[in-house]
Amino acid sequence: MHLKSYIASILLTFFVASAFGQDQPVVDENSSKKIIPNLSDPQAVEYAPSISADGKTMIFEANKGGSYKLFESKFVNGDWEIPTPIENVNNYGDSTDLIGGPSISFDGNTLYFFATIGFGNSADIYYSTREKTGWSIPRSIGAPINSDGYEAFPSISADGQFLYFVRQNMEGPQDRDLRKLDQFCYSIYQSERKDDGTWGEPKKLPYPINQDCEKAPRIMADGKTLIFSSNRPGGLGDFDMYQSTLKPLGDWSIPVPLNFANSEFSDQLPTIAAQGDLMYFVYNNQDIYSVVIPPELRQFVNNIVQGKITDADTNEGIAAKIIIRDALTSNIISEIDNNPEDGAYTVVLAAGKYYNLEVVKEGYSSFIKSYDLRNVKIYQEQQQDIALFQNVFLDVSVSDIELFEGLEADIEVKRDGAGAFFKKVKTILPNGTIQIALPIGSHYEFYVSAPNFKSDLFSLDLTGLVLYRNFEKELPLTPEKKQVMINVSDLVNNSKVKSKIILRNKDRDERIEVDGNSMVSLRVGDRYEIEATSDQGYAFNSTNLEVGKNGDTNVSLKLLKLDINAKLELKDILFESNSANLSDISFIELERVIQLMKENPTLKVEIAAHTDDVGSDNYNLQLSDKRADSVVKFLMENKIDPERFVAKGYGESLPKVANDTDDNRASNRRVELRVLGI
Amino acid sequence: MKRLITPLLLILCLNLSYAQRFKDVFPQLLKASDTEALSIIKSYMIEDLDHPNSNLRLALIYERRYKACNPITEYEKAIANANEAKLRFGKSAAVVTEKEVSKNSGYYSDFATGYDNKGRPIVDYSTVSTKIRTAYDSAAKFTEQMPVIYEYFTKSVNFHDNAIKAFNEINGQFGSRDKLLLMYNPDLKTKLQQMISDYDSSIIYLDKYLATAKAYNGTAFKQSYSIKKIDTYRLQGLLTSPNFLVNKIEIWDYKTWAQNAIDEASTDVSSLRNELNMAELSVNNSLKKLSPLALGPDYTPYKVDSKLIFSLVKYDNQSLPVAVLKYKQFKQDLIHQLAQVNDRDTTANELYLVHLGELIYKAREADSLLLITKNRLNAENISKYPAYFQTHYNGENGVNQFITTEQKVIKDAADKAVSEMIINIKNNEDITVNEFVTYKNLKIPTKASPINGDSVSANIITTHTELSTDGSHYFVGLNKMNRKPGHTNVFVAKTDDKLKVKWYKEFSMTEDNASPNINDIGDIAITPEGCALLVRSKNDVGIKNTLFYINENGEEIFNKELATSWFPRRMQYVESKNAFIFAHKGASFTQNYKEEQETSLTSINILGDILWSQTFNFTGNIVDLVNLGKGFILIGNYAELKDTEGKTFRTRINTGQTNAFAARFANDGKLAAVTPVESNNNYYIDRVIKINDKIINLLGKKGSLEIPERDDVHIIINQSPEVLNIEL
Repeated sequence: MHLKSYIASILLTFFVASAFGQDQPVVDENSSKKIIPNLSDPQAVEYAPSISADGKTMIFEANKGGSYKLFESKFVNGDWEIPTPIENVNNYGDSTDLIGGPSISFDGNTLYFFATIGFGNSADIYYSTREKTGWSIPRSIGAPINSDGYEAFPSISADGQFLYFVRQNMEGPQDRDLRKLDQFCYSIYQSERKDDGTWGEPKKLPYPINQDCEKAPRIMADGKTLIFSSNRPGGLGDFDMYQSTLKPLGDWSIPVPLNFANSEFSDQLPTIAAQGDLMYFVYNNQDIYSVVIPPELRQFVNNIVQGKITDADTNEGIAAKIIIRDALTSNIISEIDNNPEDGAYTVVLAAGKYYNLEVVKEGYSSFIKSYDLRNVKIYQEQQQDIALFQNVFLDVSVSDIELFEGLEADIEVKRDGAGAFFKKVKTILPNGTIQIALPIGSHYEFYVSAPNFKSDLFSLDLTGLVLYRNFEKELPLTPEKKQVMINVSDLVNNSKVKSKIILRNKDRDERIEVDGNSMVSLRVGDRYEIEATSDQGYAFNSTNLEVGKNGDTNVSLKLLKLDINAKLELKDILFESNSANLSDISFIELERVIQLMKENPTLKVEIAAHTDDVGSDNYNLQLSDKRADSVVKFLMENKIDPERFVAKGYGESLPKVANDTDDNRASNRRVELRVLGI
Repeated sequence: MKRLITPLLLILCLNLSYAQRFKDVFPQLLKASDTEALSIIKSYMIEDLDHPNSNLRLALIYERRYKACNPITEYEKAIANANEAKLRFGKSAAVVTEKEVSKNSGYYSDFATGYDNKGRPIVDYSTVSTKIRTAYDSAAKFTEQMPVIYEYFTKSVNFHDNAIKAFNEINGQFGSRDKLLLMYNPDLKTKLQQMISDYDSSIIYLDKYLATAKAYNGTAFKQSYSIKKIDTYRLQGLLTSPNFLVNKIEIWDYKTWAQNAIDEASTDVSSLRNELNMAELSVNNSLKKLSPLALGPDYTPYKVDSKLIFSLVKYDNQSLPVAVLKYKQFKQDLIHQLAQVNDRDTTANELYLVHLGELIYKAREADSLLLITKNRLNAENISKYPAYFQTHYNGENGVNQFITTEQKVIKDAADKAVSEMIINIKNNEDITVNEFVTYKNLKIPTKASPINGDSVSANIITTHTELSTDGSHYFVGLNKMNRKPGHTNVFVAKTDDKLKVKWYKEFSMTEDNASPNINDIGDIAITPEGCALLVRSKNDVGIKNTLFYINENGEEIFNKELATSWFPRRMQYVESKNAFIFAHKGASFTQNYKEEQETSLTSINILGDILWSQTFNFTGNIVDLVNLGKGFILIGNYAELKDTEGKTFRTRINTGQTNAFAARFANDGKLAAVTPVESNNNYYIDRVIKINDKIINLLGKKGSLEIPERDDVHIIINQSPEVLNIEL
């Protein structure tokens, strides 16, 4: 501990304390200068107010319990509430330790102040962050800002990049008269935050800021307006407040006295809410006063954007980085951290510029919004709550490229470069869709496969800027196909027959029509019903085909020439067990018979039913008669003239094959169509 | 006192303070930073504005400052300092004379080429004057050209920023590119065109910026740009703002993206809308020609071109017009089926039931298609085809009205099918026959009656009757007319198609000296060969279950004792397998539906060989076994049941509640599916009427098996088994 620093601390304590007990200053009743009733305790000195950007929180120091400690007040319903002590900060040192000069960051999340902890130590700058339960235990800001000497009255810029504070001015004032006073003197310093977040070597601000004894620097929300107090010649008395602006040239303008507030007494430590119309300051080292800044002297207009940054799923606050860019150059103006506890943030944007605000957090989505304040002339507050999410939802829709029906497909997902799949899902019918949740931050590859379809893949890169939560991917898959030759020929002489082929896919809604004796491309793995018809005097024929990857690629259908006595065995004409009631499966073939009868209007046929040999001849004869009748009734029901049919049951008398096995007996249970006339 | 100190005095004071002091000030300048030096010189120059070295030093500081600035990101500072530098170099050119340099060479040591023997710097004036001149020119060039470069740069960024924001906004507005194309409208077109214009302007100014910047200083400005294609909607092309500060600028091609969207929307999507309109007109036209009352001469329904469906779905997987068209396309079939039912041939009653069944299916399918339409109906989907929906449906409300109307059409069709079916089933059952058929002096009841457990109250009671396909009837039951007192016989009587008894047979259950009682005939089954009976008997030795199979002449083909002691319940003959399947359940005559009892299922072929046997346990009762084309269904009521996944279904059995169920088995006896027909109401079924595999009617009553109510219950299932209709 240097002796000088020690003395400085003592002197400051004395200086502040000496104000206590002074008579209340007489305030010009005509001015707008007012004491803040709720903040003012007649028994104490209130000092060094600092107001948050939204103008709703004020922190100041006061010697209510003897030594100076920090107090906080909220602006509620148009008035400041009774201040409460900031215990975590006040209890940091001993009860006699001086804690003062608070500066609340513009987002309200960090509190800078100075403290003299322990007897004989000089003042250092500390900071505390806002947590769920209140302000955190203070931490020293450390070197290079703190030194063995005296550092006090910090003021943090709106973007958090610059810290202004005072150190003892060892050289004393330039002014000869002031030198004679031999008073304790300070100079204003500035430190800039480095890229790594640490503070740079403080620099003493040049003339015209530092001239004689300067103190209580307060950098305003625009980051360019510095108000400080100085006892330099030309003031109204004691310390007066001066305002200087950082010019485009990079120099500070000649400070102008704020005479709308200055008085013959000490005027210092102003704080201006972002609205820019009201200044709070310490009058006569005694109390906090507010004064309306004359419109012509309002130096800047700010807009406030504030809200909470939360996890979209948990609604909990999350720590994120807020990046403000100049929209006209894309240059980053500032990067701000929000409060990690509740996600609260406040951004101060000086009017007259065009900004892009971006919120980023690793592993989360991003948020972007523009604020064009180029023509803004008034203070505005904008509430912008921001919900970021960790997962996006990809709605994958896998379909058949030809039929556009949904497909049940397997989707395997892996991260780019990873060996193994980390997720396997299956699309759900009927739409062939599935929603896949994917954590942000990776590049994903998707392998999509469905039985008997060509596999496909796609990727989704979530390593970059992700703004939207829902993505859609439609992936049509191409079926594996096989060329099948369909030969249609005369049953007797095997000559090719001009015919039409209808292929009905039994597994999906596919119907193909081609000419007979041609190649057709069919889906591997599917079952087809192939029907051949001809207008050349032939009956129809049909067969079923299950298209395998290997095996036959030819289908032969023999057509029966519709000559007298020609017999066409109808396929799949089935009846209920031991009954003449037609099974529903029979209707497909019977529809073909109807079509044949319609296409050949002179055709007359016998419907012949046969049984196997189980049961007596008589029983089977009657059963077959009834079954033939059932078929005829169905045809009649479909408006085919009954005169064109003869129903006849043959019982078990005309077996196709020996009735020696279940399969053979099934073959013998049949219905045939015999041509009676054409 | 302070008030007396005026600014004038301050200046005077300062003048006095700094007068004649440059010599003193100079050493401070040598070790001061630029900021400090600036402060010192400015203070000094209040007294001596034309001081040569001060002016030059200021010029040099401002020069360093403007050159240290990034001319784009610190434009204002750079220009301000360059202007100052220009001003000060200009002044220096006037005041820093050869004489001055020669006289005060020590102040110009920065330009020294060496030192003389006295240690004084040797400064060549030309070096100083050249520096002043070139630095002035440089600053002048900077102040002249940089504003233009900066303007091009910021204009390029600004225009590009507009394009980015428009793109971001469009991405936020439309969930997919296809949605964007379908919801394309004049506003969106204007926005896309503006985006193209902004992009073009951005590129024009970027080119100008790069050209002028390189012309100004090719070494300092080395930027170039490349254009990237936007492939993935909502992921690529999204930016916070353009990053034009890097050496290799990457630009998303918003122009091509927007132009493609405009082109596709104006051509492909536009023609798609026309085709959709034509399809709507065609299907409406086809529907107009159809009558639900009579079959037309030829039914050729309009089929919506699959290519159109393909295209519509390609743009919108959840396409509302596709749903509407598919419904209307199918509605043709529904109307045709209604015509099939209404335009009926009254002689073919079985087929009428089939047509009614088909109508149920058609109504069901139509309902599911209409439900898809309803589910897809929302403002967004309407907005994709505003003209189509406005023209044909009068907007969203009109589509809603259409759905309501169609729901009624479908419901009416389904209701008609179900009510007609139940009427016709009942008509089929009301076949009156004689009360008795006689064989010798024996009067055999023609109506089946239940027996009461172990006792037979009458001398002869018919428990089962069956009509054979050949028109003959089988009557099966019990009598007590055996010569041995207390013994009960099974009888089987067969009639011809005129109900004249052709033969009558009795089968005594007497075995050794035991005194048997028949305590159940579970079921009978007619085959082409004859008739099979499931009989449970009880004597002093124990319980015996027997399958009797007799031919059409009443001769026993075989009797086979079965390895179960449970009560026989149901039996079916399976023609395709030439085998019987039957079910036994529980140890009590009346099925205990409140406690789980084992059900044994067995298949025996007509030769008496057991094909398979297995169990199916549930709490409830068996109502019937139903043959299917492939396999069979066990139908009953349950209080507790497990499906094939092991999921348990329970009713509120303490209130007597049961629900129906159907369990499908394969031909080899393997359980394939279990379907409970769940309801909050109490009901039970007691009859099953199968039309075909697609229509199986379950008939019963509301209330419980113990306390039935008057109201009928009619459930329709299919072979899956899937519930098609419930009327509770």
